Amino acid sequence: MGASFILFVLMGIPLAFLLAKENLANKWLYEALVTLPLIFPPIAIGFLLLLLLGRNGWIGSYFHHININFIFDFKGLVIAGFISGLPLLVKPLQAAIELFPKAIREASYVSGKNSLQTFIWIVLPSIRPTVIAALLVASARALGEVGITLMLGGNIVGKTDTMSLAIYNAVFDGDYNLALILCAFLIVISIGIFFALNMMASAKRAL
Amino acid sequence: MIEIAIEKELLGSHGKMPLHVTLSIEDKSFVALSGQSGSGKTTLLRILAGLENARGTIRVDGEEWLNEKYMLAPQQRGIGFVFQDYALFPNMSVIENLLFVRQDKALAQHLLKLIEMDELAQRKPNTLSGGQKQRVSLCRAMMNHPKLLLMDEPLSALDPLMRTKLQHEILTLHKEFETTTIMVSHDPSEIYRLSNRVIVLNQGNVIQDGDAKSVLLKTQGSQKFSFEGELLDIIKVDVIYVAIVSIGQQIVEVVLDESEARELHVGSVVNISTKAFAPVIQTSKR
Repeated sequence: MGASFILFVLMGIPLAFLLAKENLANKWLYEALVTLPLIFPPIAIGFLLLLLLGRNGWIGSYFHHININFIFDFKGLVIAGFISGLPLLVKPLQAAIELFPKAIREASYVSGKNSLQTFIWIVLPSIRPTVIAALLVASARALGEVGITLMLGGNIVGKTDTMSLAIYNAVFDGDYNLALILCAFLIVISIGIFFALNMMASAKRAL
Repeated sequence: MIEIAIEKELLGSHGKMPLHVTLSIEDKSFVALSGQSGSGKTTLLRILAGLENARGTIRVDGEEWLNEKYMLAPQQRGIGFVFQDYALFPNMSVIENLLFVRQDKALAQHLLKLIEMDELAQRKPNTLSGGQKQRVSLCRAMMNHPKLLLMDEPLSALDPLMRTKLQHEILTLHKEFETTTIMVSHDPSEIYRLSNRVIVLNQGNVIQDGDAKSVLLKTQGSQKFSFEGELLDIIKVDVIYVAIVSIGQQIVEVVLDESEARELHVGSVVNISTKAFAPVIQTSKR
């Protein structure tokens, strides 16, 4: 989840910036790709990614040459979390960026700043509550992701099992106590995120 | 010297409308741009700022800002732009708004002092009144030492008192920096007070161009004064008729005879003038 979070910041936010551009070519295609994990069944996405990123896959074979493997590895989990949470991050961010007043951006342009400077110094700080809320929701989604994780990670105990998969494994083994403890742990995290979101919402109202 | 010769197809209130403007503007002048809404004023301003494209040429001090093949980006034009709705950077304090344009603390403080805003330097825009916001916006536009200052109805959202105050401040800044300025405005008193040239646009074309007095004064020939107003009502009182006319912010009554009453239509724009009497002028009691 932590690694996915870093990917969200480093890739998700720039992606939202690009998608919010008015004159982006093939915008519908990128939007569809980003939104896909929200609609398409996770197991199916996991399988397609397995084909793509596997040792003989289209992308995976390149990385295999330089000794980087995604499948049945921690990196696979990170990618799974990232892809599942991406639409929940990008969509609200894109909307917030598009709704940001045009005149303020233009005021920055005539002040000599380009669109990237404007985005980093003005738009992003101004929509900060939305950015943090979207990051939290996307990370929570990454935490609970099972389908893609199962396909890419392979559910190897102690190596590529996430909290959710650990609960599945525990139940499968009949160890209900362990499953309950893990559930309690997830409940604590979820409540934490819920309260954080609530606080963000009230801070937004106070603005 | 600014030379403009541009053309652009606009979507006006009556369908498609060509904007066709050829102008040259002297250095250090203060030009008021007037005309009905939808006449192309704002578009002309935005084309000058580089925020919209057009066909034609714009040349500023021999530098090409726009020609057939090339359009200089707004970032490179070195202009100041004051928006109608302020457009301050909401995440930055007053002084940060100014310094974002250029890291020149001395100039920022000087500007804020000039318009008596130096005590509010650390405040965020959402804690300021409309008038205060627009003053910050004005200062921000001056931070670049602009070659050209463009203002799009900067005072139209403010109350009359604040408007007068800001007009004085705009004048103060214009005297100190001598920036060539183009301001869109509808307010005759504002245009008269600030500008030394008025350009009136209609349906995308320049229909009047001259000094404020010759463009704004409505009297003709030996008329002592003349007001334009809207005819609100015609009431019959005994044998005469009384027209109720709205002029500026006031309602006046004018006596009509029967033939005049028949010719005039309620809702139309009328001219009220007099020749015989010298008008009396006194300080208002309010």
